[in-house]
Amino acid sequence: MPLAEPVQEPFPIYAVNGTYLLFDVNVVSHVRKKHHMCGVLSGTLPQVPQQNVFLGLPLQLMVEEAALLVEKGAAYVVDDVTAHKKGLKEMMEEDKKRYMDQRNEEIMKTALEHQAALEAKKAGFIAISKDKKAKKDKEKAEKKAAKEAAENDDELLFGPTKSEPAPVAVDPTPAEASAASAVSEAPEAPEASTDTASKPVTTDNLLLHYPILNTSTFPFHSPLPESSSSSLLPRPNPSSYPLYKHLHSRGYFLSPGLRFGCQFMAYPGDSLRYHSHFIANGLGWDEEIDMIDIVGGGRLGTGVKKAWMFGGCPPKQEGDERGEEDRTRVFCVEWGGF
Amino acid sequence: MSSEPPTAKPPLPRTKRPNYALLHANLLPLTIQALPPLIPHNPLSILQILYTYFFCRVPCQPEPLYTGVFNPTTRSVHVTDTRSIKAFWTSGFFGKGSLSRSEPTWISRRRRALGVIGKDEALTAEEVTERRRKERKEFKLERARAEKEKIQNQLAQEGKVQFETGAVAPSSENKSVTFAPPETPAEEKDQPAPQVVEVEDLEHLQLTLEEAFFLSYGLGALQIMNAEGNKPIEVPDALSLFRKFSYFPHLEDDAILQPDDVFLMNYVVYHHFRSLGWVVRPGMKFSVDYLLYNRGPVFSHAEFGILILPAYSNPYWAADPERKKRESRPWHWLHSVNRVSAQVKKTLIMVYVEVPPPHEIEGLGITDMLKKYGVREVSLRRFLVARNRD
Repeated sequence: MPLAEPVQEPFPIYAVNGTYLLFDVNVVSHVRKKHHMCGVLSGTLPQVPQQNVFLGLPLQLMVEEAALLVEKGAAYVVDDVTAHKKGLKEMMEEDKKRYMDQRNEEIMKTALEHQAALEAKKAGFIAISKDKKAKKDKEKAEKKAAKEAAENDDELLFGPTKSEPAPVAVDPTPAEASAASAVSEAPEAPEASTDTASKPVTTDNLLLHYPILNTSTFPFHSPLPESSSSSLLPRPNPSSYPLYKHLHSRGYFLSPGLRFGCQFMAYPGDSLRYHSHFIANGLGWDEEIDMIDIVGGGRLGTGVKKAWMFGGCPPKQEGDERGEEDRTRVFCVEWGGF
Repeated sequence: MSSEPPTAKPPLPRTKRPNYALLHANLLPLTIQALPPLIPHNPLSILQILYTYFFCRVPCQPEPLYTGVFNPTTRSVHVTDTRSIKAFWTSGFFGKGSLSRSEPTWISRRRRALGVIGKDEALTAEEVTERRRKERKEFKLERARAEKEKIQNQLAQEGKVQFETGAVAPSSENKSVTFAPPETPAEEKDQPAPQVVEVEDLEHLQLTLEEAFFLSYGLGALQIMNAEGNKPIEVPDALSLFRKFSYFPHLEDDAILQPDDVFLMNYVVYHHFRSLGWVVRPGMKFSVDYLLYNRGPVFSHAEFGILILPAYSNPYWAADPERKKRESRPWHWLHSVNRVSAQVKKTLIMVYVEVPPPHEIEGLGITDMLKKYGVREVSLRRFLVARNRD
């Protein structure tokens, strides 16, 4: 795997209709490595579009994740639609031309590379198959010849009675012919393939591969941090955000837990390596909890061998310098059979 | 000798279950008298019917009424006399024993522990569960041990491990000693038991407030006494008392009651399903409000879990954002409840109770007031594409 390019902080997070997206794979891996945030991949894979089990870029961040990144100063939020429009409008004519040229050049370059790689692969494949075929044909011919020789011997025993020795004369020819044809055809094949390979790649025969360029990293699409307005800032749920920060600051990887019936799933490490230990819900400090919900949470967690966790942040006391993430207190409930 | 596979213990003898169909033949604690048959060509039969109807009528309600005492501390109605307890449990499955899982059986467990009744005599539900769990646990230990021994034997055959066959035995014996509790002491304790021990029944039946109100208002079979136990509480008083006690801490006497207090919402749903013939029992342990049994807990598992949700669709409530907010619950809550009920193989039913505005129910009698409430049921099931194919 190629090494990811270093990512400069702050990087832009693109807000589209209230969702926070990352389009750059380098940023995605950077966020995962450095900030312990996995997000959720939400784009269709172009190679396998007819399924939704495996998804690709863009990466959708939870509101809490986006908020924490902005709070840390590691990222800033860009409104994707307006930034895109504005960037395009402000572009000078020559800039546009240069950009298009650059883009075409890049497309051409990638396409050529791709084509060359493809041809090399093809040539290699043809060479291998040719070798095999020649070998096979040779073996076949030898076998046939031997068999016929045996038959001829047999026939020789009864030779005089049989008045048609024609097969002896005719039969060897097809085998030989086929062998010969294989041999004679063989030299042509590589020629043909080298022909196509040596053909200059023009836009006409470039139908094989259309590279997808990453458009979001161009300067016109990544306005500077100043332009992010406060209306775009992610506003996480005030009752669950402290819990998120608390668990995140203790090294847990958190992912959305809606389908498991909670707000967050807390993994002790990267979610690709570990099972989650907790299913967590954030509550306000004075919020009342229904007894029924505690029973349900306990059963839910224990049913999947996890602990159900809920937590909240007490209001700031005077003289208490700790932040939300340190003040938050969490409790775990498990269903015990007596 | 010790290395040979241990002989599996014979399964515990199945004790004969009582005839539940006969025991619980009555669906409610009422007696229903059938009139003599009408025979069209025999005019005397009409006379007989009329005679029975006018002169020999036996009231449905028991005579004297069953009694229970309202207990403010536990917010329930305690039933202490044996006759009422038996009637409430056997006909309709009302209430719960205070020292038992559901049916009040503490006395027979106690008697068995003291040796008054035999080891396998009149087994209670708790004991059956306990025995089944023990049996299962032993079976699992036995299986694990056998598997381990098999592997050891295989290894020994292959010459990978060197030990005498006797070397495994102590461990297995140890195990059986440590994990299977010795039976003898219990039996020893049983033997010298005094001949006749009179065990006083310390258990009472607890009725939830909804059950008690249904029995007294809906069926008229229960007389609820006040906390001191000296004065009966009239039905309308019982309603306002129970409504006040559905808040925590409970409301004072002169407090204004809301049309959506917990007791009323629960009672509307309880009455609704009871009157449709279901056996309704509290479902706290499965994180739902009520469980619906087809005939009763002794016959089958509960099929449905009921969640009570208020619905403020009356235009009066539009001006009340606080209540409107209570109407909406987060998605993860629904997923959580649904998962829990799917785990225990119950279908979740969300029951929406339409709450009338307070001025509409003011000053109405109980029946008229209850008529103002509406009930809608929505059934919910977890669907897994791959698993729910058939």
